[in-house]
Amino acid sequence: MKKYWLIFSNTVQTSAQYRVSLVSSIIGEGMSLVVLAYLWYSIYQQGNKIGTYSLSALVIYYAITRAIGLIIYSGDIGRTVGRSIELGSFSAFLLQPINFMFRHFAATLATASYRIIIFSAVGLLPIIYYWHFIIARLDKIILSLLLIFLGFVIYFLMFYSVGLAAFFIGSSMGPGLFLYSVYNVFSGRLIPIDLLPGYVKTIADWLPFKYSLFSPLALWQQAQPLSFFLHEALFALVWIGVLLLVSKLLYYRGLKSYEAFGN
Amino acid sequence: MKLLAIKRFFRKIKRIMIILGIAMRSRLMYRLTHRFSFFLTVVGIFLQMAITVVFFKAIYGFTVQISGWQYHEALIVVASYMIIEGFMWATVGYLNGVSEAIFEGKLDQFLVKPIDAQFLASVNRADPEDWARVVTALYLLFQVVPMLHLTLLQAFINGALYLVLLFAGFSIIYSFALIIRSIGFWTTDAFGIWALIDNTLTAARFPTDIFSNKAVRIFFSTIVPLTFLATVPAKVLIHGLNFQLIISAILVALVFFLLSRKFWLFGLSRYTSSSS
Repeated sequence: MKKYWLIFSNTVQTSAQYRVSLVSSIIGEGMSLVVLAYLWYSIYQQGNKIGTYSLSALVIYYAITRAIGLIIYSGDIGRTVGRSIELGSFSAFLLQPINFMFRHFAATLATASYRIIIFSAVGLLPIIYYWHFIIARLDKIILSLLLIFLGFVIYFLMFYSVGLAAFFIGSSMGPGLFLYSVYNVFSGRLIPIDLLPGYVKTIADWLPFKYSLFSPLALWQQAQPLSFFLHEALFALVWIGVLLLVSKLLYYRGLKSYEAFGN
Repeated sequence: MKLLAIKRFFRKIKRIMIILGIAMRSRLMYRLTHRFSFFLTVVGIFLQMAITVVFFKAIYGFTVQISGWQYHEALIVVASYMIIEGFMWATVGYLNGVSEAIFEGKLDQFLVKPIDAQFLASVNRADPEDWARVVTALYLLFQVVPMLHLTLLQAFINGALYLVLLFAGFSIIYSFALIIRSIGFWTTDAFGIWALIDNTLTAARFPTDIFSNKAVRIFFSTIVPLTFLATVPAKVLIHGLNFQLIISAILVALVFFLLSRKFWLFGLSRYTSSSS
């Protein structure tokens, strides 16, 4: 456990060293949020009604999905794993008494933790301002955070598996881009899933993408009952199990076909 | 004397085109070493483009027009952005090569060659799979433009102006990206800056008339000139000649290009190598 803790603390230090990445991500997502807010504002201005969402609810939805996104996507795990296999630097791991997946999970968790610390500092003012609202829905918020964590694990396992695809097709770039495109639609990042046609929602219910963004937000924004949380958490855990199996299978099959030269 | 200068200019352009061709060909060969991944990347890009269109379709499911833009007109803005974005990836790889060279301290390999370092650093990471963006955008344009009911002459004039404005848009996006990438000379972590460029510029997919606030509109026309990337070319294609817009777009493109060049050279003076 101590070796993974070392990886965790080293990655936190590296993240703190390269701060520009986080600052530019926050500014970029902020800019994209402003544009989306204006887009929806121009639609609401004409007196249109968008599902069950008011304009402020929709803007809050986008703001929170962007913030969660910045934490969840922080590791770029698919690319990191894929490149290490593609370029042969993976060979170094084979000689170390360390689990390849846990090593990357510790690093991804560290980057996410660092970002949570920064966001907590940035978000302190809104937290104080909305304190009464937070207290009133504290139970829902805690359950949402649990779902977000499960969504984080699912996201990690999906893109870790995509990275492992480099064992078989040489590069993880193609499957990574493909998966990310699908994720954008079915996670609710692009638009809340319940605003899309019914069949899209049905498909999303059977896929593992919605647990990181749409489900946690639906839980507290739409004041869903506890049974909703239990249902979503159960399915998320099943997906984690499935993805763990897939990643293990890909890793051991891939290891047999892996070849590299050099030191 | 003048003739000699013109000849020299064209020779230089020819040389640039040859180098660009070689860079793109070698990148295509590199990408094709993993054919299945290349194929999946192209499919992923097509999917991304399709999702953008689906997103617009979903939005227009709630309204008939957004800030005066009807669905088919908004799709022209989307297609225009896709074309510029496609060219940015397919010819200069969105300047990823610049960030990589700065981060790894490998810019020397470009500095010692008898060709402009900015040009070489720009074209060395072209992504050939991104021609798929241009193809999708052209398909979209061919689907939507007939809905504008332009006469043949109108289509010819508007189309020619549209191409000029797309080039101006490309120049703006290139210059903006170069300025942001050049910040890497000070921060080293130039890869992270990508998020800023990506999130900011993809906003150009939407008609910038949605910005009802005057200050925001000025911001997106001058400091981050999103307006001139896709909205202005689309407006000229739809409504025809508009001197004010065309001249503004060309001026902004020129100013940004000169500014980015100056900034690149300033950043280069701070560059410290880490390779041999």
